[in-house]
Amino acid sequence: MKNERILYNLGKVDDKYIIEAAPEKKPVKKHISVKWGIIAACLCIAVMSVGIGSMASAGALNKSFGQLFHTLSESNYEDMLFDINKSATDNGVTVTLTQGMCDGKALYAIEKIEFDPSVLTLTEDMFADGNCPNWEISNVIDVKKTAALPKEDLAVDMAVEMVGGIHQVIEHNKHSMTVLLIYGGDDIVDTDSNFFEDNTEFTVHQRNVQPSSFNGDKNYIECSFDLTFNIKRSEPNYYTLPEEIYQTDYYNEALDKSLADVTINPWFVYFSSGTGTGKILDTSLKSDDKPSLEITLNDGTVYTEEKGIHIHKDYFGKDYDQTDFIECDFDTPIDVANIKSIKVYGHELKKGIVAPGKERVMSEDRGKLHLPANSPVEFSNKFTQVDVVDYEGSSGKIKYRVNSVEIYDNIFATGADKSIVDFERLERVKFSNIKYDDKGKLIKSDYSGTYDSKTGRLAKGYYILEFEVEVTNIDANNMFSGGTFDYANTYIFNKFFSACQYDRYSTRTNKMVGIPMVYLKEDEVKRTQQYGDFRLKKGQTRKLHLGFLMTDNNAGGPEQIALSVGWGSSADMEEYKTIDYTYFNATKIIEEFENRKEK
Amino acid sequence: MDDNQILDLYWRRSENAISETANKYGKYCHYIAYNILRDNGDSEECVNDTYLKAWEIIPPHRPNRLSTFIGKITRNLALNKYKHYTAQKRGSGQVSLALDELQECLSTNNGMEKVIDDLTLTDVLNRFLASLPSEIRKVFMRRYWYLSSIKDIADDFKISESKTKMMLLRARKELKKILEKEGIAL
Repeated sequence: MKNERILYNLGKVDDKYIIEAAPEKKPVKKHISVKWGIIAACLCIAVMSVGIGSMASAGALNKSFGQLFHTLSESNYEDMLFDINKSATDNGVTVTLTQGMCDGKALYAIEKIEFDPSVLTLTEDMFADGNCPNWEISNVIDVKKTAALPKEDLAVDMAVEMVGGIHQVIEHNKHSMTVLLIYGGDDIVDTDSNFFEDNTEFTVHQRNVQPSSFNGDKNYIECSFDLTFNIKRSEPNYYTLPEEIYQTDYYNEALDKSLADVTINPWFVYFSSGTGTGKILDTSLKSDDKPSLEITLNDGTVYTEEKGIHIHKDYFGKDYDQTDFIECDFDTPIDVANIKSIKVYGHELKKGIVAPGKERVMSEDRGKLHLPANSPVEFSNKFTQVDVVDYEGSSGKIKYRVNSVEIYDNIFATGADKSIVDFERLERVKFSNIKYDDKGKLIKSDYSGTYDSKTGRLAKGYYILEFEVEVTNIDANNMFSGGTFDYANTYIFNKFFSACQYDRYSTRTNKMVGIPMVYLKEDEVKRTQQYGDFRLKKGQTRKLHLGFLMTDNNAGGPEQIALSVGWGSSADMEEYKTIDYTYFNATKIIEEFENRKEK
Repeated sequence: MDDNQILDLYWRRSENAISETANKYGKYCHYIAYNILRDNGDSEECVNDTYLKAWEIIPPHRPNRLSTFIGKITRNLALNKYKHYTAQKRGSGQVSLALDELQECLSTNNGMEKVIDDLTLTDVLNRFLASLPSEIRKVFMRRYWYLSSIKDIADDFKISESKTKMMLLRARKELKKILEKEGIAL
């Protein structure tokens, strides 16, 4: 295979590239109990405080750590600190600097702290609740060099160093000490911290807080620490979604509301015609001569794939129940409010959805999306049912079809990757007279459909879902043999299986079902296992059964049930299949299943 | 023990060569093997095979860099083992994903390209790597040489997963451009 050749030949590239990219050895973390960890953290403060105080009393340069931080180098750090192995005593606490090293940016120091219990007695009990009781703390913020990151700046990877610190004055038993902590943003941060705020990455590093001994006779602690902090703009100016937003479900209304009419950054958007049968364009209108996506702003600026747009995926399906979409991002943020037109293969997009990319919504570096009301397209981050047509009959046999492809880490063959599919079946309900609000949200529709518990909605109770798979395309895409398997090694994959009462099921990774008896609570699946593992040749079919329990009547909202089943396979199975729900008495479901299995 | 000393052990046919190699590069090799095989047992076996292979090759060979020499052996053995398993059953690993991603680098043109040998392809890859900015090159190599997962790369480089994917995407596009520019078919 061609891609295999690249992979193998990469193995032969110059050693320097291999070495350069080699994973760094991570420091071995020694196990310490939580309690000791707390003590260590507190004692580290004491160590640093005493160290700083001692430097002054020992006659060393009386500079704050912030100043030292800025000027230290490999050649001068020993002058800045007091001598290696030299001790200084202050308030009955003796500090000995046993090792020191500076790489010009970070200071690495190992200090040994000794003090008599009569001076300062520390016991584990003092830290039992995670605090340092009876220690009075006050802060003095000392910033020696500030870092300015203008909001308008679009520079990527702009790094600015901020120099300074928070000095904490801690008093314990009348012994006064000055403590330096780390400053980053407006927070004091703990060891090895990395956080974001307003598109700015703060990296703060404090290392190796490790007591070597602690006893009641002579308090003794040895610890080392290094401190670095960098402030880095990691992306062009955009704002990170608050945690509570990006962790919500993609279909959560809160997301919709919070994104409406707020800050802009559509640098990664998802143009879609909506779910169900939405079409961006007739596939016959695709053109090799026209850009697949062309965005024109009010000021006349035109973006295409040749200029500023990167299309990751697009789909213009021929099937009635497939959603068209284009997933792309931009070199620079585009103000959606200024979009004059969006064309797909030269045809203007009259109706559709522009949404933040799904993955990006879940990601911490998502930007917000500006959703103006008067736009050439409807903007919404929430999929809305736009059309539903043509469901087959009312006999309980329902057609369904591949809806999308998702790839997961734990899949082996590429063929399997491509066939991990998310099957969708909308209930046979037909919508008409659909009305939307100006955000593209469905506010009214008429529908017709069946109300049988097997189809239109599922009443509380036990069911067996029977469906049949058929291997239609043996294409294992074996990356090494270069050939194909003569069979599809197939199993129902424990990724998707859900039943819910919403217009769109929620496909939630890692919440799924495999074994015949599954327990569903609305859209939540309780038991997850893999179902079966079998081989099929091309053209072979197999009936599968999944049992589930609806814990409540499926009522409210559009009267429909959406079921999805996913599987992994080394073949494609994308032809129509049949699906059938059958209601069973709870006490008989297993028996019935066994009977069906035997048949 | 430095690499030269370890190599001397190999040349003297001292079995300590194996243990010293394991001490120094065992985790490194395991990292490479595990990224491909996703199984501790298989990875361990693969690493042991690496030592055996090194024992067979050295002498007469005396690699300039023991680390990459050992790493390459591990990578090849792991890929072969992966290939063997793939022919038998399904499993998990980064290889299939990496291969899928690399598929994007291939030209969609037909008929106009020249088929090149491995040596030339390696040369093209070297030039491609040299043309990349350092950070992107490291990320690219971590993904396609070490077969590290996106998440691991993002964690190690302290960047977001989405940024990692974006860097890889653009690197692959660059590679595709180079392959197409030189009219290379694989």
